[in-house]
Amino acid sequence: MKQVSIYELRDNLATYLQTLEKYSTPIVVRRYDRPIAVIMPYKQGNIFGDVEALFGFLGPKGESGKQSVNRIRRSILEKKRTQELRHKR
Amino acid sequence: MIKVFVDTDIIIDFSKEKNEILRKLLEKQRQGSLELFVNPVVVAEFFTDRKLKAKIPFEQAKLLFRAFSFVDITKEAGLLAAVYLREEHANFLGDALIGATCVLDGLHLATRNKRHYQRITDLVFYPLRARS
Repeated sequence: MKQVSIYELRDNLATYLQTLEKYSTPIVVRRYDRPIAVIMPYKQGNIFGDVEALFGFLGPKGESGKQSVNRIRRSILEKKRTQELRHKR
Repeated sequence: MIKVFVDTDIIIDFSKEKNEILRKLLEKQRQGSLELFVNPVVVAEFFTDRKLKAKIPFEQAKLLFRAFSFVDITKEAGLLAAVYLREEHANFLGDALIGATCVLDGLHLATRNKRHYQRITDLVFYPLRARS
């Protein structure tokens, strides 16, 4: 896998992208000798397609999103806590 | 390009096949007409689900969140959220932090819980149709 510093990449971006497209090899981008990103060749479905295929991955059973958020974020205890914060000081 | 903040309920609905809202949003993002955002409140709430203790669903959930850009909760967002809570524009910390993030970063909020944000007057909602 090819590795490149951000400065090298900045100065030769077009060349690196051409190489990546030609050889389909990911490029690791490094900053101060630490890898911070990978540039991957684009393939149909390799980012958005995979994500869209996750529809229903937790199964259809159980609460709806609205019910879950009301339980987690908007419980009676949480409401009480906010009221206490408003009035106690 | 419209920047859309996606509330937790919509992501949960997607993961449980409850409706097609997020599918449509992802499609629009793929076409380049909008960009989807979440913040740490949404991540924390989504990953609270006990089913995500298992490795495979956990990895799938992480993959799902790759579709979103992340917006941090800054000091300014904290201060604005405090105003919303103090002035009773919001009753819950999560709602206040999400509302403040959206207002400060110019994000349209996509949520099925509009009622809880309605007193945050500067907030812009992204129009949703559950069945479309």
